[in-house]
Amino acid sequence: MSREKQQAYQARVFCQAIVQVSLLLGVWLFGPAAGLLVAQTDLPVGNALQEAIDFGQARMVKVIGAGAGRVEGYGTGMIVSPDGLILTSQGVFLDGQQTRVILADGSTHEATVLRRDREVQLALLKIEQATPEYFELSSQPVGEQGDWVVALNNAFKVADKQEPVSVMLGVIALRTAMEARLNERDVAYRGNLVLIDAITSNPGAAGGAVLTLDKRLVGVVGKIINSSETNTRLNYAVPVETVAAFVAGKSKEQEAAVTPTVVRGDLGIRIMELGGRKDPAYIDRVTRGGPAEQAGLKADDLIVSVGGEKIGTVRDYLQVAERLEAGQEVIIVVKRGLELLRLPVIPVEKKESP
Amino acid sequence: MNTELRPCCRRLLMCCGICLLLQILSFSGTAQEISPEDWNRVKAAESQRLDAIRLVEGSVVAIYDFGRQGGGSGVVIDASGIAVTNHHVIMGAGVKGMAGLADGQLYEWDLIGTDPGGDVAIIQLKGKSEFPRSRLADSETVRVGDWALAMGNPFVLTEDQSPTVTLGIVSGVKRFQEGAGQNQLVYGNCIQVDSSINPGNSGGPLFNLSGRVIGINGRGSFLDRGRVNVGLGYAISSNQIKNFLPDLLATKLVEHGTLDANFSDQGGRVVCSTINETSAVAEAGLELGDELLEFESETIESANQFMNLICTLPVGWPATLKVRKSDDSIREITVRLLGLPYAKPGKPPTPKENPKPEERQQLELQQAMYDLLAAEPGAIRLPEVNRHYAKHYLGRMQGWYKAKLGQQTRNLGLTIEDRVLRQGEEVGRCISRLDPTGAVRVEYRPGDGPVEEYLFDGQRFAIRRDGQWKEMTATEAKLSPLLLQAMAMASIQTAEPFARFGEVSLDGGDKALGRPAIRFKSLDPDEDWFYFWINLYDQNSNEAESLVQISADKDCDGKGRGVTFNDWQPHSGWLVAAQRVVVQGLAKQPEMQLQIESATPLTDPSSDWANINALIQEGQR
Repeated sequence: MSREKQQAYQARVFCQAIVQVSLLLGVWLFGPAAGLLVAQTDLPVGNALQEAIDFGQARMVKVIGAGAGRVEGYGTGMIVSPDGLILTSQGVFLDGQQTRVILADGSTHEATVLRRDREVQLALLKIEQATPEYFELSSQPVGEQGDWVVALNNAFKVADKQEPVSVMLGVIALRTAMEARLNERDVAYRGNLVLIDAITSNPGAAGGAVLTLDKRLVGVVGKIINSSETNTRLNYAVPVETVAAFVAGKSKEQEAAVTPTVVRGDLGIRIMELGGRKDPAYIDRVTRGGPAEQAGLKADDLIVSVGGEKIGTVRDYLQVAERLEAGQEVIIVVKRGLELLRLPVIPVEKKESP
Repeated sequence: MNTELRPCCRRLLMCCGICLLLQILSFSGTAQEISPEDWNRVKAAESQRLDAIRLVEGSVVAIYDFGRQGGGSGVVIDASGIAVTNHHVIMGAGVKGMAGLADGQLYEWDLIGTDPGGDVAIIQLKGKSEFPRSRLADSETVRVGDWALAMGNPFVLTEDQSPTVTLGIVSGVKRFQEGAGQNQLVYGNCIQVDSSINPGNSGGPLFNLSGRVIGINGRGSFLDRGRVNVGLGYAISSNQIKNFLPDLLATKLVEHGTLDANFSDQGGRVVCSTINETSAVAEAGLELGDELLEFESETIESANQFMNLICTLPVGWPATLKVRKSDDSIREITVRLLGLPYAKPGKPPTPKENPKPEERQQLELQQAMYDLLAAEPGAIRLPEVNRHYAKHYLGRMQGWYKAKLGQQTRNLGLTIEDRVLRQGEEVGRCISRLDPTGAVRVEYRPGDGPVEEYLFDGQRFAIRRDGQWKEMTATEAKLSPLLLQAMAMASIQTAEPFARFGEVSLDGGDKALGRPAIRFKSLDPDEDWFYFWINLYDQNSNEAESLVQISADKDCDGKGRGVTFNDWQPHSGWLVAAQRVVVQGLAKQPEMQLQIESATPLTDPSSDWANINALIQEGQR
């Protein structure tokens, strides 16, 4: 290689490096924002939003039940099977003599309550009516932080009879877990939730649908969770995978036992557990020859995210690790010293401890 | 130098390798690559939004009372400073106050007209001859999912008078929100948005991304958590505002319309369930049990839908219903809506003893507000202001004609030859001569009968029957539609349209050519009147202040009949309505149609053909 060529090559490599580093940092630092921009391009120009709304409206129902005092006697629901299964939120309005379901065409049907679950705050109803248009329930999480979503719900019973329910626009703000907290009003809901920035925490909205712009169900609008101290509310959805498990009739334990197709994955990481509630997720040890070691993870790395989900605490990590599937590659971002590393890891089959 | 570079270069190479690897991995992971097209779409969407805001920002009004205690919002819709706001905003402020615009200046405003039923009020900003203004959109085209920009002054935040902007989407259309008190603050057929609407946004505009006003923000679902945005805001549709604008400009306290009959859903049909037997609609043939098929040309599928529609119409609106009677016959009924009464306001505020000067002023304004609400609805409260708006809108009409004519100048007269049709069959010809002075001469040649001729020389009227010219009174002339159609087209192109029939005032709102219209009234010293109607918008919702109807009778009834004007076209410096129809009654049954065949310049001056004295003498000789 001549000297001139070499110099030119060096210069080119240097430039590329700068571009690559800045791109990389861009992706790391502005990852969610970039994702948002990608999604946002669909909105004003395409018909994606309109199509998602039309798709959703055809599958939404209004549920009318019994009111009691200041508790509203109505809710929102959605069709989840071709033979009239209706999903709605668990609530007092289902306690009356009669529960009616109004379909998008305005027709009213008597519903029987098949199942109610306090933990996930969902209820399953059945009407004797063919419902060819329904939501598919994914057993895997749908939608990522920053994705646009539309929330369809009948807050304040604004829509009557065949009138279409209200539509709100927002983005997925966060996937997180609902922790029971002391000194707060008791919240029945336990489990993961998808926080959104559309305002859905209103009377009658629970049971509404949260959809991505490509018409996939992200989750079901959850019941009002109100802080009695600050009068603020959480706008959130019960994630679709939780909903799917509920509709399939599986409790959490059952689900773990009867999912032959999904083999739980193991990363070969032991996490540093000190017992505190907000301990950061440092790696204590990596199993020799395990997936983590092969991917280049080391002891003392701080886990920042797993599969796009932010890891703030040990508890976050354990929850995400619980859902990993063997053979499904997952990107783990760790902080080592001052560097952020983004490493793909393929979990191996988890050996259940006896 | 090279030796220094080399290790650095190696490190860079390594770094680059890792980076490349990670880059590929990262893109195969969650984030997608943003293509140049996507970036351009993002930028285009963003600049559209910014452009829309820049375009309309100047027209958004922060409304205060004189003490600048409370606040609301509004939007200027006419460059002369006419602004729309909510009734409940001016209820708090009184009949006068201050308004802030994005230019940072404060302007005084006066209340012009108000509609407590639909929560709309019109105020006039003062202190400048030309204000930035926005245009009203056709709210029927608004779809769920459309972007909606709300602008206004929530929580009275602004210090420099520039508005707050909140962006969201249309969450629902054709919503109904119950009112308060007796027939007050009902939101029918309104637009629901998730754009943040907070206290102080009231009266402010809701824009689409083209910068047109689709609604006036007035309320939210606040019942649950106190007065903060909960994601459900409601805007009065721009089309409802168009329906009420003429009555409000006429300086009225406007009532909403009712048929004095109600409908309910019965087994998929919408059926008349209650009716006042003495109401106009009952007299026109509506009975209990009749099925409502259409209301105002809209197919009716539910009682709610009917309720929604009628909530957007003012008293006096000529509403058309199509009903199926018990014997399965279909019938069309057109009646003017009756007024839904408001409860009289409670006691006016009792003045404190020795109030401070600024308190005294506010008390006076509130007293004036009380007087306004206690006044007879539908009455013209401020005749002088009313005449001012009559002139203003006639001026706008002439401006529209000028724009439509473009470069064409008018210095000669015009001869128009029309085919005259009855029920589609040609029955004769009509030749109208128009002079720039306003003089006209009309010759009607029926296929089977003697020729009729009419003349207006600018002051006097004459008719020729049996070969003999005779003078006519203005009252007689007002009953001759063929003369009137020519006179109207000549008159609106003179400096003072219809001045011959007396002083022009703004009589109120009405419907003409199926669209909201201003009804003007000319009243001569003998208390004899004449009406003409101007649409403010064409069928595409573009501003087009054109003459659409004339009649000696408000309802085009009796001998008077009326003439409608459609499809204005330029001809040799004149604007001519290519379609003129002589109509009868509220339902505007077509009686006779004039279709333009030709229009040619007329070189003879009117002194040659419109000399009434000479013509009468000639006949007597």
